[in-house]
Amino acid sequence: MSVADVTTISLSRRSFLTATSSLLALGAAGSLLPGAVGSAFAADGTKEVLGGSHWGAFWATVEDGRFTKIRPWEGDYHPSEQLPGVQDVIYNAARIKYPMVRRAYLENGPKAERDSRGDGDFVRVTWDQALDLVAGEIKRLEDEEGPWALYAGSYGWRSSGKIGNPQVMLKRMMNMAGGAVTSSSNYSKAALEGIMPYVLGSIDAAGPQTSYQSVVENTELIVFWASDPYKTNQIAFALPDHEEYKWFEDMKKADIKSVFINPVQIESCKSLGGEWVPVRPHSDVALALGLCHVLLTEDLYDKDFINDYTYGFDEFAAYLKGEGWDKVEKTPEWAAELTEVSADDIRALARRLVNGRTMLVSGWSTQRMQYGEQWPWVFVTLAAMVGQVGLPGGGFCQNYHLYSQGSPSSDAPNLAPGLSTGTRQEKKEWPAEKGAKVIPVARIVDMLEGPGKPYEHNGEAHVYPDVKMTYWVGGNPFHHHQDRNRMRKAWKKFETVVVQDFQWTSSARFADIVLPATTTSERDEIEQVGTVSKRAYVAMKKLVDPVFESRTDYAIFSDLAGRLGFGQAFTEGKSELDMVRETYEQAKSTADSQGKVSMPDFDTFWEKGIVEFEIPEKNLRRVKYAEFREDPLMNMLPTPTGKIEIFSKTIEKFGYDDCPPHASWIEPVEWLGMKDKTYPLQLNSNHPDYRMHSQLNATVVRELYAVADREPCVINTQDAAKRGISDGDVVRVFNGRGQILAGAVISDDIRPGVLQVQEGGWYDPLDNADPNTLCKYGDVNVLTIDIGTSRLAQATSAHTCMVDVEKFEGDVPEVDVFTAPAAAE
Amino acid sequence: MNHTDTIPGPLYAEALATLSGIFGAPLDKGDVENFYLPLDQGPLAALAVISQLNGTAEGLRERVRSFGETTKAEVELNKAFCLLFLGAGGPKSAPPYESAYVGNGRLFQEPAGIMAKLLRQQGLAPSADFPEAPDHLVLELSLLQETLRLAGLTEEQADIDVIHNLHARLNGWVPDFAAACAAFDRTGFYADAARLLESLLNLPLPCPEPAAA
Repeated sequence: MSVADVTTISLSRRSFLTATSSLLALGAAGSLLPGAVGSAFAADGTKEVLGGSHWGAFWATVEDGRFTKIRPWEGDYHPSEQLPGVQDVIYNAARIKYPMVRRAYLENGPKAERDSRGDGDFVRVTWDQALDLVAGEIKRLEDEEGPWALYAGSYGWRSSGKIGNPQVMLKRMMNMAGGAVTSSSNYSKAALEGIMPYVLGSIDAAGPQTSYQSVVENTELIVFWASDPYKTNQIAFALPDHEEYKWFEDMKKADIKSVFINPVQIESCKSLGGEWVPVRPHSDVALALGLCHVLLTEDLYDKDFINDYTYGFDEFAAYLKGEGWDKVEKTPEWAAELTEVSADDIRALARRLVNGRTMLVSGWSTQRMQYGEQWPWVFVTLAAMVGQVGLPGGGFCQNYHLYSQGSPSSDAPNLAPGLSTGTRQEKKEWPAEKGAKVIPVARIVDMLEGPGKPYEHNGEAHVYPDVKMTYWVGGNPFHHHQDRNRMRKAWKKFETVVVQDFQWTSSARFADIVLPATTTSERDEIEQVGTVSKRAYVAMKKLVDPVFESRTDYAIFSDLAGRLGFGQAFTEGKSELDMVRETYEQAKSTADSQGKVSMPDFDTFWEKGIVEFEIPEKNLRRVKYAEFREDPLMNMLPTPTGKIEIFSKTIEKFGYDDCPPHASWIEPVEWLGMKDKTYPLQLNSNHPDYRMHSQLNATVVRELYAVADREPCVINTQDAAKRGISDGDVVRVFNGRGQILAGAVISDDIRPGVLQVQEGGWYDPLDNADPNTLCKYGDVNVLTIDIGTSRLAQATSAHTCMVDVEKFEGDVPEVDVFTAPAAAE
Repeated sequence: MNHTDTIPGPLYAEALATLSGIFGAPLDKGDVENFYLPLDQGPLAALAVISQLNGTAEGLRERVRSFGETTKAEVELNKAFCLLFLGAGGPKSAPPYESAYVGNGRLFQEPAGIMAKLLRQQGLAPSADFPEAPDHLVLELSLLQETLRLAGLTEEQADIDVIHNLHARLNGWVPDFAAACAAFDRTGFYADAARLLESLLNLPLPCPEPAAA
């Protein structure tokens, strides 16, 4: 073999550097080099730029094109400890760098075997190759099958901003291509969203609530029922300013008494010095019914309010007295047996509710259970019996835990989204037998397992469509969906899975085509501070250029739209910055016509980075349902009767035995109170303390909470002692659906019989070929049940879950999902 | 060549370039087939003639051959590459970036800034199909080998200083990188390659001393 031959086959022939001109060598390299490489590292000095995120606004220090430091915006009342994760996600080792295609898919297309998904055998391809594959498959399915073959129900918290919502872009593109199956509602509060329109005529848990000031000035007793404002308010779609922490301080100063009904003694409770009622999980409806029974039988309920503002109380009262459909009286003793809260305590609490001004506050975990529709209904019914709905500091609130919805508002207009999904271009008729156009979001696995199978939802009958392809953006279904092993099997129904994300989530690893998107910090955006308060608009300028080969979601979809033949229609010739400008100028136009706030022109705003708005004194005191209370005829609720419907004739007509026509206790399939338990512990898959679902799990923020390099598993001291588990041990949590590892945290802040593992941990299978494999990191949704709440909402029932736990023996497998190597510590 | 010999500059540079090739992209089928050639005629020929590296290089070649079929070798090595270096495992990875081994492991930190400046100074930039952070292992190795070749011709003190600077940088983090490869590479191929690199960097630099500090 000649020297020339050796050189030809040597790996050294690969070239990774290219010469620049002598001019470039003097420091202007960025101007000519390809995208990310060149401009990201131009020698352009140091600057501090305002940015925004789901965790709040922040100042970013950018040095020579690198985001090097982060500090909170000074207007943030209580900056989140998660903020460093916003910087870390840009520069994380789990970043998707290039377009990648699973090897088997690249070789065989949609007919490729699907068992090796998740094995990591990806091949780097060019953007052209990747987008041709995606566009080709969309076109093929639209032409050869129909829109029912594509699933675009992509769900998740995406990245921040009004412009760059990739789920809107996906639906817009699919609508222009001919349509696709989409999804309705969400995993957070779908049961609530299902039932509340029948009870209150609206979702209720969205939009401005009775203001914090109204509570501070008027409330004597506040009851937080499965609600943790201290934790979940850290995040928001708009830029959170964390005003609720100030509210908690104000409530402390005002000496407002508080009760926290929760199986866990949460930080919110500790911070207010509240009373902890460690209710048995899944028995909240029973506890509320017991309270209602006391109000009824002790004649403590507000009869005037019930008469004037509600409908159907008599049927409910009969149910409480044992004359209803189940012939069981809902006495405090009955409730005590189910809830493990004593009958005396139930009576005492019921009496306290009507002793003074009381605000009842509910979170959403109690409706993420089988028959979850019953909780919001009984909660509103209880509040109606207390009779303070529409009074300052009284009544009820189903959302003080997210978006600071008790904040007062400025008079600035809301910023409008930059793009719309548009409507479906009907290239093919969509006959009913081809299946539903929209499925309940949490029923995706039912759809995959049962194409053509009938199902009921919210009073209507449908059949599941036969989907072949999915395109997921801005979400991570391999964290948020329940019963992971069932899901993994069902996922194989998809012939093509496209995931567009900035990081190698579990969902990306189980995809066929992976497209690298940018983070919010790598594109131009605009967002308001405060979903309700609207304290400011922030010009979220691109902080750094896209790293590696990532592109903005808009660039990706625009390119795909071009390949599908409707590029101009998709973009309407607008750049992202054009849309930012348009959104701002629409708001300015509204503001100018209303004359309440003053806004500079766009260029001034963009240059300055922020426009702030005063909160007028008149807006401090807001009372939800005050108008309804003042005049229930002129301001009737949009329900059939115009009143709060304690009994719903509409639901009665549905004839659902899993959702009776008034709030009811129905025993779930799994819970601590069941007679024959296969597994002895109730699993609480709560919202994480230091994450937004699965976002930031791969960042430095994980160091705040990981135990033994895994998700923390909180175990009551007694339960741990019985099993020989010590603090910091690696434990195996298991049931008939699956098994996970986690790190033990022994605590008396959780009631006996309950185990807590936060949702959102990245799925990390030990053996991809094993259908019941161990998740090494602690994805709690390996364990949770995948059934609908009822035929009404078909929502998730994640909290209906029994498990057992044991100390893990043997060699502890390392976590693979995202950890930096030990050598990097 | 015995253990005390200094390796000729061009050979050292070629060895660096060979290892850059291994860590710069997954091996394709042709690369894998070439591993079946005798060591001194195959892709690792530059390493074969360095006695201190010959044994490990032979082991590396054996790693590839041990898969039996070239297709299997290509698939398994690609998987390992994606998992270790492209983040595809999520992963329990060995990020090939200097920044990953300083501070909290975040990429694009100070070493990236320093390397960007150094590349600019040397009139070089990552090639268009390699849009990587400037402190990527392969870019540091490539710059070192190109500067070694250049210094061999020019004997410029500035180039010599760059060589020593880069060599010190690489010696500062490649051991941690190699340890990460050893811990997480399921094939052993990249762990061996990283070990080879570590050994190469431990050999005397074929270069005059830097200017006095």
